[in-house]
Amino acid sequence: MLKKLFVHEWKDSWKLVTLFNVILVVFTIIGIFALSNGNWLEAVDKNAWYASVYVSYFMLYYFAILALGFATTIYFLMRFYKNLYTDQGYLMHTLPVTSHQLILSKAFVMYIWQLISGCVMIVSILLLVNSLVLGTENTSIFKEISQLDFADLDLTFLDVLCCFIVLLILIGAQIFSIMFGYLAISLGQLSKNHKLISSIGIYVGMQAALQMLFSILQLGFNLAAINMKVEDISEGLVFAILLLVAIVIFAADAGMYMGSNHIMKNKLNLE
Amino acid sequence: MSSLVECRNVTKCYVNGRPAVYNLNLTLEKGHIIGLLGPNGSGKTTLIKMMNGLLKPTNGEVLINGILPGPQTKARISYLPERTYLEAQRTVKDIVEFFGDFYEDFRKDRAYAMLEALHIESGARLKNLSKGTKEKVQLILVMSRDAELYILDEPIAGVDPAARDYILRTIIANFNPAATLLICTHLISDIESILDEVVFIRDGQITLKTTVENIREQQGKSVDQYFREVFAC
Repeated sequence: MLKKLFVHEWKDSWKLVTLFNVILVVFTIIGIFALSNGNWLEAVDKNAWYASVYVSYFMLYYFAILALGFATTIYFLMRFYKNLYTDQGYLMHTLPVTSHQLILSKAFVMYIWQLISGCVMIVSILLLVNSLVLGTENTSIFKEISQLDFADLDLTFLDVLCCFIVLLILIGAQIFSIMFGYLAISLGQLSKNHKLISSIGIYVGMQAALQMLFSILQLGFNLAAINMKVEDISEGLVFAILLLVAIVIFAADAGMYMGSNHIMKNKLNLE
Repeated sequence: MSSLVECRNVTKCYVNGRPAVYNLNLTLEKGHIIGLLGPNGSGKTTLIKMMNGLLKPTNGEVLINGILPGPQTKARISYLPERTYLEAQRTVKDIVEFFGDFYEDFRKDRAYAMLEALHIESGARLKNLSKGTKEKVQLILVMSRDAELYILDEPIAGVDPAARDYILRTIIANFNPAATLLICTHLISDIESILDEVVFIRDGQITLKTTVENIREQQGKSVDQYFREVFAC
């Protein structure tokens, strides 16, 4: 059943999110043609009109990047809300599936699309920067990257382990953003009226609380590091801190997931 | 006769505190068409939602075939809510396929035959259909299953009288005699002819559970007339 839910969620959502990504790809292609052309760059230097087009392009590109990340997240959170907590919930919650399967299928599709959008953004930025370098320096950053010799880095086993934990933290942080939204939406359903507004209010409140917690933690780290020298920071300490961060993030992910599931299973109250 | 639905001392309180259903006991047997009748706010929809696992009782328990509502019971219950619950962007065909994927007892051929009889294009998007046509689509989906329990909440409220006749005929034609059909409606006179039993509910409690025949014999009235007398304002 989980596979079926996943397939239907994918089929229902892929068109619009693909469109978001295609818009960024189109922007990138325009930029690649313009920036890799040396004559065009010369014209920007000499002509104010060309310069204003150049600046406008980069502003639009910047907004397109922001919009892609923002729109993808908002779109999937709205789907979660509409499918499970509005009239459509009458269908979804009477399917022969568990609340775990409903949450997991939606989270998995959202996760994959966030990953795809993230990759599209990174590749887009790399291609644009590469075009800029090609237009001015006549070299390619991809060529430079391919010539890097990782053996020179002399990585220890602990270094590799740290890299692996950083990767885990990145995965956990992405799951965190999904579960954070799901929990805020689910908590909003507990209010008697204006459930969507309540969800948004709870989301903003939770974000503020999280920022405050981060600030306190940062202050604590700064105070602890006042009398610490760079040479005192061992690989073991870095590893321990990264491991702790990873554990905290995944514990928070699990807690928020269980909270959403509990509300959906035991406190569901469709209008 | 074996019971299909069993409500034992069921109470449901919402946030405002006043119980929508209070200490309710009800048993529904297999193979009957039952009308769940009561005035607005009497607890009909709350009771139906608890049977479907959309609400959890505050106290007591609802059992379907002896088990608590969950994925297993949802696979056996075909529920038509009083709301339009389908995604507007989807086509009728998408939704038929969706039901076919999730419910083992769903009969696609039956669904397409009924859609054709009602002149509903399977390629049409739901957002382009009228409210009445959407309700017909929902009823077709629900009645295209070979379920053990059909629960229909206001199945004919939004459709024209001509379509009502077709829908009632459809319900009867597709109804499995071993299954139970629970209909909740205010249009009693329209459905009276197909009912075997009626359950009257008021202030979250069952006030009467009897056969239609008994009402006619003992009261000398139709169910509609008797309902108006019992629930007169």
